[in-house]
Amino acid sequence: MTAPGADAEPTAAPPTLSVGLAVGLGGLAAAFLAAGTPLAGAVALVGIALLGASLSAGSVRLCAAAGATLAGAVVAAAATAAPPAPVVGGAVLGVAAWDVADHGLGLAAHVGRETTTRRNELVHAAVSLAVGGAAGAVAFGGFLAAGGGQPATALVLLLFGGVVLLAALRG
Amino acid sequence: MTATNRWAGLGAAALVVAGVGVLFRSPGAVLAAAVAAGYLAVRAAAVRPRPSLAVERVVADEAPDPGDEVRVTVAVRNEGPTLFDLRLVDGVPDGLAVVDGPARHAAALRSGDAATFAYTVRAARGDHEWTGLEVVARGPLGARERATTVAAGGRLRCVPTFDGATDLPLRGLTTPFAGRVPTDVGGAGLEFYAVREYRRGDPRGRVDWNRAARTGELATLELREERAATVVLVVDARPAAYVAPSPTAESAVERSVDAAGRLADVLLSKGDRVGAAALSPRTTWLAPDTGRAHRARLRETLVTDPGFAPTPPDPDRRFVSRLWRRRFRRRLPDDAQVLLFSPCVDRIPITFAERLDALGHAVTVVSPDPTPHRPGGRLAGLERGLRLAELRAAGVRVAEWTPAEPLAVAGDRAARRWSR
Repeated sequence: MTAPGADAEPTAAPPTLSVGLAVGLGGLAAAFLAAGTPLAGAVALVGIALLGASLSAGSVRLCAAAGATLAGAVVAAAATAAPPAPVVGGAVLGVAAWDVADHGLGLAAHVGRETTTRRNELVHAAVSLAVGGAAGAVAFGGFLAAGGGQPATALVLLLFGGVVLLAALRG
Repeated sequence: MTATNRWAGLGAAALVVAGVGVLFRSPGAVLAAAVAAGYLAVRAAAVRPRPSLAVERVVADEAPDPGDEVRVTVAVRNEGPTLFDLRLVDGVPDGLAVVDGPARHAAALRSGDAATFAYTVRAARGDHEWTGLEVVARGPLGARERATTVAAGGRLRCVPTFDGATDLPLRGLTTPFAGRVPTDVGGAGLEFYAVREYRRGDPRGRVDWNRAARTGELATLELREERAATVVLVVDARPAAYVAPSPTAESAVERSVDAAGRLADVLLSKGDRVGAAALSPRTTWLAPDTGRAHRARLRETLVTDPGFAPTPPDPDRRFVSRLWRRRFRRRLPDDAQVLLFSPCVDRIPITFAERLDALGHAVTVVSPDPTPHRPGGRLAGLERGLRLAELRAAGVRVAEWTPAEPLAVAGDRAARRWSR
């Protein structure tokens, strides 16, 4: 005997648009990093696989692991002396991919898959990409303006970046 | 306002990446860390969402029949600054089941924009009221969220028509007043009961003239007196009784209340006094009475009283059947018989019926069958069958009522078996 009044409960799965966007952005990030060095691309691919798994399993923890793996891909790029441009692009797209995936999981918990969430997802993805793109452009612009690796300016830029980072972390 | 901690790991990751970048003299990694710093800076600078919403809810039909599907439309208008991430969950009343489209929505609203979403509920007996819409608003990067409830009214009142085509023979416990229940008392009536010897003063019309002509002795025909009964309808509405053969089927309580409503209508039309009670932690008692005002009161009680609600009571509420039984007996008039509606899924209604019957309140049990056609259900059905057999052995009348048949059919079938 079962209790009656079963609600048409929404399934707690991330909306398909978010899944598609996250995996697409992640694939692009992997492509950028692979253009840097093959090792970075390979690690990034593992990260995308984890991201996909987290979305299909609905697990926020797995999604965080995917984010960590994407950061690992950037570390791998640094260790294998990848050129800066693809690494910056890969970082922007990687953070955006993780953000969209995590947002999708949040939507899954709150409203479920059957709900109309298109506008919400697109706005979030656009904001995320805009923030990352702007940050990447400013950083890369600064790097180019510094003339590509003069020791003194690079150090100043590095320190500046560190200060910004710390200020942001405190906020 | 709570922090979602979505970006918690990003700062640490950025520091690690920047550190590795410095270690390997790789500008790319340091720049990647700067990208993360950009996200963190925007997160820190983002304004906290303060949703200011106007919500309007439209219920397509505010007085539907039970089982009707009713469309509910919710329009949300942003009266404050832009909301980047808005999740809406409508507070559907407990007794209503959403059958189409989740009662939820996610949106992003500019100032002055509106979002509309709609869903369908299946109307169930009772007075249902919407009170609020749950809102979760997040900032552009989702670093902080604010959860509130926006007040928005809405009402759906579903009153079933208890049309009285159903009848169930009552037992012979009656009041001294004239009515329709045949009794074992000889006197004036319609149906032959017995013949006794003539006493002075017997009405001439009741003298058995045939016998007088044959034997020369005067004898008087006794007819079955028909009297009115006092009936208390008790609906088993404990959490255990909210069972149905399938998730979409009507619960035993729902069928019980429906049957009680129909029988009450018929009994009141015949001049019987009818009361109602819920065997439930949400105690409900309506003393037996008769008349038009009482008919309306009884219907209102069955439809809207929380004791008969279509959703189970809080399982944490204490229900001590012995105390309930004692209080019920104190309230029950001496000449009242009891019609108990229960799926009989445990022993409590069995004990209740047996004790009450032993005390002289004639008890009839109407038992809607909630067992599904599955192996487990068949086992539960066997156990239930044993309980009902025990009731019958104790002299309680039992009418079994399967989901497929109307109560009138079940009542007829049972009545053929019952001897008067």
